[in-house]
Amino acid sequence: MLLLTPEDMALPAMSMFVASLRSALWGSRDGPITLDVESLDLGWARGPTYTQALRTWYLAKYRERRPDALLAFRTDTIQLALELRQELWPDIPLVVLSEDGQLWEHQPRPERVAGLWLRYDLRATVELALRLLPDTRRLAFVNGSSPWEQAQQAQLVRELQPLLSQRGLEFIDLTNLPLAEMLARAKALPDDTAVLTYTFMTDPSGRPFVGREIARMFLAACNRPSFALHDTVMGLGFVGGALVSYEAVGEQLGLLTTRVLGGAREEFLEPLKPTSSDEPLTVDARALRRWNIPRERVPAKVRLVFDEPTLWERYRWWLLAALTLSGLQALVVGGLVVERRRRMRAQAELAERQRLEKLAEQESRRTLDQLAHMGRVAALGELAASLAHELNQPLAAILSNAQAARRLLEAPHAELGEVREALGDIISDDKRAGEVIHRMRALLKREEPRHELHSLNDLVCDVARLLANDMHLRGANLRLSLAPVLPGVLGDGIQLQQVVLNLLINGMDAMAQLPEGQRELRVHTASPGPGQVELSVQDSGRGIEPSRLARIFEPFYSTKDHGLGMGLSISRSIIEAHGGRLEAQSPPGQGALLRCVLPSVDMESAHDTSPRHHLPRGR
Amino acid sequence: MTHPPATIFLVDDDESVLRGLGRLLRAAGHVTKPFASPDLFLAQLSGDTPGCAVLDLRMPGLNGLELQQSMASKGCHLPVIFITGHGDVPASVRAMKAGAVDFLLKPFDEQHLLAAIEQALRKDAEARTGRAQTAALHARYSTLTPREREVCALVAQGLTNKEVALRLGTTEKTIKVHRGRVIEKLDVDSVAELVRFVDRLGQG
Repeated sequence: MLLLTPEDMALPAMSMFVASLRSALWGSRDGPITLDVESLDLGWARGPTYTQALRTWYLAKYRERRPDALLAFRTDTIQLALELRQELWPDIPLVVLSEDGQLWEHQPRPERVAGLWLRYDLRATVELALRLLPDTRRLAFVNGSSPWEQAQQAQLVRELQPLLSQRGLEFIDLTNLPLAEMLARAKALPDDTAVLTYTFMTDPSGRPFVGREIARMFLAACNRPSFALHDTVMGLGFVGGALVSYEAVGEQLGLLTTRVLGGAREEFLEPLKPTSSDEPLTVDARALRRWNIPRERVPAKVRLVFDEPTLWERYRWWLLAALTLSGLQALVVGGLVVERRRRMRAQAELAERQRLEKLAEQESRRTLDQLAHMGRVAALGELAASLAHELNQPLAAILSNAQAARRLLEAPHAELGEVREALGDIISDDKRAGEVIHRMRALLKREEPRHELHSLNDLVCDVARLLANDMHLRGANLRLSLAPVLPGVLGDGIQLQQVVLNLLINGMDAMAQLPEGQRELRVHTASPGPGQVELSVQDSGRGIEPSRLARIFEPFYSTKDHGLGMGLSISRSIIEAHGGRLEAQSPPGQGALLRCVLPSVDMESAHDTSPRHHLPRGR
Repeated sequence: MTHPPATIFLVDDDESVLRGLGRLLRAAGHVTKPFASPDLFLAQLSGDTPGCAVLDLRMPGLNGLELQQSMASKGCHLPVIFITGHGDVPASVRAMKAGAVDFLLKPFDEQHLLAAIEQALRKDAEARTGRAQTAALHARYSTLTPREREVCALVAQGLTNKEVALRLGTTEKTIKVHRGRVIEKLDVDSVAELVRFVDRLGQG
């Protein structure tokens, strides 16, 4: 079998076509088949002289090897093949593949010719372009300058025309241009242009080009998406089109040839049947990406080629797995980081809270100290009259004695004994005044709370001395019953004295309305249990109403007319700060009883200053 | 000095003060009698000793002001000087209204105390003189008959003998006799003096 092709067999379309044809022939026949292929190089040469030379060359070549069938591809080749068959092998069948569906309308149908119509579906290709690029307003058309191409040109434009007018597209003619100009123009196409390339075998200079290479150059230059008609150029960068598959065409031609050789005479009567393609439309996925054409625009039933999965698509599962893993790792790491942060924050918060609690404790302690001081000032304010009196008494005595002594000494016969007595009185009165001042100052002092060992009995006695004058003036009788042996108390002596002072003053106030002689204040110390000391103060007043009993420790709650209501509140705070408790009772028929219980330490361990109670050490 | 020497009664519950005061006043030449409590002082009060009382204002049991009232109710007219280690205004005002001679804040200077005591003793002496004179007037007046007292009162009101006679329903002559007796008994020189006498009698 002899196949005549118009172009270089090296052209991909040709080689593919031939290979496919050959395998189709082999597959449908028993035994080997020889398929000779002759390239007529019609892009280069034509004319009677060339035809004559070919005739001579083929006669010499195939004299001894007469083909069973002659196959010809493309209109110009078909014409030449008809002439050669006429002269060389007039009785063998000719099977043609023509790109011109109306081939036999232009000329009388020869004998023993079967054929296929290689149909380039420009319309479908342009419609695809419009689908993918809806904003297209211009269509640029590329075609070469070879005689065959120029012969096709009119028909191609005719085919495009209805579509152009129907869609209102402007036609940009990029046909029959020198290569350089064509490329230059391709570089500067308007934005709303789509390009349709047919072929570019030669430019007006007649230089033959290899389609694929030209296509590469063109595509590199062209600034707009370009559509093609040949599947062989797909992959170079064309967006797609209604592609002719030379493989399929070769196969179909092989089958037709087999039928013809098998004696299917009716094939000779058939008009040119268009070659069918299973995939009428093809789109290059990479080109879609390049031109940012959304995939949604790709019509259904379009074959996506080079749908080169992106890295993502190809390794999707790996990536997903990797991402999942790394995500999980990130989560774990993140979780750990967060956890660590939380932990650190929690630790920081804990430390901060502890610091704040300590601060608050110190602050509340300081507040208590301040309050306690204020309370002492207030208590002393209440005592001011009595204290002034108590100070002024010795001062008055001193002054009187001193002036008396002076007078005695001025007398002619000084009674020195009397003078000596006066001086003795002065000295003792001075000491007495000093003690009053010392006790007062101690209570008024604002020094840091101390943490010392005290005897509760001593504290009570100190306060009793301070209040003695006031008691005396108020006509209250103080009855002390102190435990002969009593463990010590750790804490701040001044504040503890203040509590005693408050309790005694309250007791006296409670008895103010009683007739004289009935005002009795009983102060009692004891050790109610191991590790405890107790102080109780009971007055002989009317007691506290049950409804008020619960409230007397509230700040600013006072049962007195001029009471500030801080004394008991502060006292309870002081006792609690010393790890003890202060309670009030009102036994029926008796006055109020205030009981204060404190933790104790043995007096022997006076030098043991380890803090066993919640008392701040000296700061 | 026909009357017994004045005595300074000291009442203070502070023994040291009491001793110092006593020492000072004795050194200044006064006679003192110290008492450590108001009750002791009241218990030994004898009717009419010349002198004055120095009382501590703030004392348990009976304060100075109450003591002053107790003294007055017992017919004791001793002038009072208050001393106090803590003088508040209301107490001092009450004390002065009650007729205290002075109100001294401890510690007080001897000058103030001695001046107050001088004043108190003077006041006591005057009061004592006044009380003696009034007593004498009362004694003379008590010698008048009821009729003479009537005539005395009307004459002191400035009525003439004639008017007095008309008022009492008797003769002018009778009134003249009564009037003479009254002037004689009361030991006055004139009607004007008689009027003063009756005035002082009314006051006393």
